[in-house]
Amino acid sequence: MQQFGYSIKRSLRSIEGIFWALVFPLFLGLIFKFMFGNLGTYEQFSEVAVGVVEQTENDVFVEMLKEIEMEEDLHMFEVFEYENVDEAEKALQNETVYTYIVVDGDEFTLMIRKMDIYTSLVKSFVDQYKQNYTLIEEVAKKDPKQAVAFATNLFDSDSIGLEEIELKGQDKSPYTQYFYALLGMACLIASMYGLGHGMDLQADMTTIGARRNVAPTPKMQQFVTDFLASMTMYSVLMTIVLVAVVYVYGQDFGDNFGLVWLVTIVGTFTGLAGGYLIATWVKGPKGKKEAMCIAFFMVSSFLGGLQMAEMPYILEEKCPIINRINPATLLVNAYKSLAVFGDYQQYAVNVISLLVIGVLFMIFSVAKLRRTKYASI
Amino acid sequence: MQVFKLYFKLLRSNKGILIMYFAIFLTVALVISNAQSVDGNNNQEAMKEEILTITIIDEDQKSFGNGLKEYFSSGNDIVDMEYDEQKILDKLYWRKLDYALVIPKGFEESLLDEDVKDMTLKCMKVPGYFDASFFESELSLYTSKLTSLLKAGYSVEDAQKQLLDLQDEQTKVELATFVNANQNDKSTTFLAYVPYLFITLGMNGIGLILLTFNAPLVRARMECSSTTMKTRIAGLVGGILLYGMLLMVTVIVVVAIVSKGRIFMDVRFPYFLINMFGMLLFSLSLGFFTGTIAKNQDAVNGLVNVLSIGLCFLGGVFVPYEFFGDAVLKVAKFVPTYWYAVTNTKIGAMTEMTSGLANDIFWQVGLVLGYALVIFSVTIVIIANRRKQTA
Repeated sequence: MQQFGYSIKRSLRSIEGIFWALVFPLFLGLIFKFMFGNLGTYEQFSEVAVGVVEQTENDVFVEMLKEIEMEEDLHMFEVFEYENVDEAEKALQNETVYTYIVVDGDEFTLMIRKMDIYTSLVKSFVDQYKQNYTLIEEVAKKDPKQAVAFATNLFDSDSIGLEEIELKGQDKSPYTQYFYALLGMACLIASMYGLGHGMDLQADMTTIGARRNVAPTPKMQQFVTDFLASMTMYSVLMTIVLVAVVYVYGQDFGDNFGLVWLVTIVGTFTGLAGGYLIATWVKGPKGKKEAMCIAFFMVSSFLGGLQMAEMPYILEEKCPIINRINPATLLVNAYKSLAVFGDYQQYAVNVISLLVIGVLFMIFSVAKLRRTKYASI
Repeated sequence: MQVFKLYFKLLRSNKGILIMYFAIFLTVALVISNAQSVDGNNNQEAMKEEILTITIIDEDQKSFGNGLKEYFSSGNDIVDMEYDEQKILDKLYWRKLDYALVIPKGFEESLLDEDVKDMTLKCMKVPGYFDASFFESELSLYTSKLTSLLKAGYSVEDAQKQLLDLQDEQTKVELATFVNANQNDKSTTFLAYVPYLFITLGMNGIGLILLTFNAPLVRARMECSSTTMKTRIAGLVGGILLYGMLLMVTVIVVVAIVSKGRIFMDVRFPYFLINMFGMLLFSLSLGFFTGTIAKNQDAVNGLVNVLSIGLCFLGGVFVPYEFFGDAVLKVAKFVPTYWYAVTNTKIGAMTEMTSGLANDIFWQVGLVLGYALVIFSVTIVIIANRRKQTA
């Protein structure tokens, strides 16, 4: 118990430990909250700005362009009329409009900066306009009596109704993924704690390690108390981060906070065990081991989607095994399975995989520590 | 010369961490640029319409479903899927599926027989998602044309064939004259991630070395040596600048490989270099600052990660700045990486240098250099104050 207390004290005094566990994730979370708070609105539909240059007048087309609605009271396009091509080109360059249409009677040319969803929408409208007129001509050729009725139907008839099937789960925003990856990284940063405690068990790494190696306390006892102390300490810090992300940054992690907390703690265990593994197996000075630790959690987080949310999906298609063994991806998937799918089976698979990886890390670390003997330090 | 040589000796002793950050950068930049770039070596690629990924689950198994699939397969990806809500949701979540449409059993009969109650199509989509709204508007236009043709006496097969034939009637699309078809090529997208490399390696490669130089005993020993202050600073600055040049050359080599050498013939190349140079000096001054204020290696590591990731997210390096809301954009304008990203995009899209563009590049790179100068000056003031205190 005394050793447990000392270990907690050592952890509390480690400013860099507190920084990595608490300050760094909260700082990144703040940036994410600030950036992604409004990002969802980018994908919501709003009027598409489009320029029109009429070389030969076509009032019907321009009026239709102005009047067409996406839904009630929401116009599809915001139309800017220009006197000549130069003015329209300038507006396109200044990004006032996504595209402009050169109208020459019944001929239309679309001038674009790049083909994206907005310009595709404009192109689709112009295509449909042309096709409708061709269609009326075709029907008139076949049966002239039907032409007027057909044209009226074409512009007035209702389209077929659509019924939306409600999706399960609560979170539909892809940007919450960044917060899942952030929490994943925060769990794996526990490896920095594990590294420090792992080095303090080795006589050739730190002075504390040298002192403890000559103490009569069995090494296994030292290892277990150290591990439990760092696990307790880091779990408290992670709980603070989790509470901040869910309640202060307002991210939706689903209804079951207990299970969200559980996977966070399991992730912490795996992170700590990863730190012990690096401390015991990587040869070299402290700086090299720290660099390995940073590489471990940064690379794992990148693969889990911290910098690019689509990363796990790309890996799922190209190399799915990485998604099955990468701790950050397992954490992200566990959070996702709760928040998006409400799928406890998938959640359990991810948590158990994470636990198995952590246990393996621990077994390898203990095996290496037990074998290490010091002839002279 | 001794200080200059020592700089590189110390750099060699830290090569592990530098190689690690370089490997992380290279992986991040190559993977992301591969996923996001559009190989626009010809106008056709740049002019391709937005492709939607749709699944049409036909429970009715009649000609309506087949015709619908055939119609929308032109220009879109139609994915074959069973009705499995979980799988559909997963694909919708990752934006790998834009829309899932379900044609219920008996739908075609309800369309043709006035005595049978009209049925609706069913859909799964992310609510409010632009691509889904786009597909719905296309679908609505298709179905209103189809029902009009049916009322005009066409059979379902004939009406759908008529609509399919109409697809040949396409609007002429041209790329504006001021736009480079290669605006989103691999070189441009790769160079967008350079700030991450320059900041992480700049701060580590200078911060860690200055940490050694600033260690109390080393500093005291150097102060009482015969080497003058001027020589020491010249050696140190020379080392930092050469290190910076090495970083820049490394990036150029990688870009040359990525672009298969085409970058050297590209009219945009000198302007990319100018933009990179501005970011390099900013990163070096940040490294100089870090090495001066950090007390130990842990502090350097902390500062490197907070600043590199923070600046890259806020500056629109990791998430494109086009996605930013107004408030975020206002803050981003105070971040030098934002100006690098904006300039990189502008250079990527240019076909020739105009006075307006030259003016933009001049001010934007100048702004980044201004940040570099401010950070450098602040660091010098800190050093001067420290010397005063120890004197």
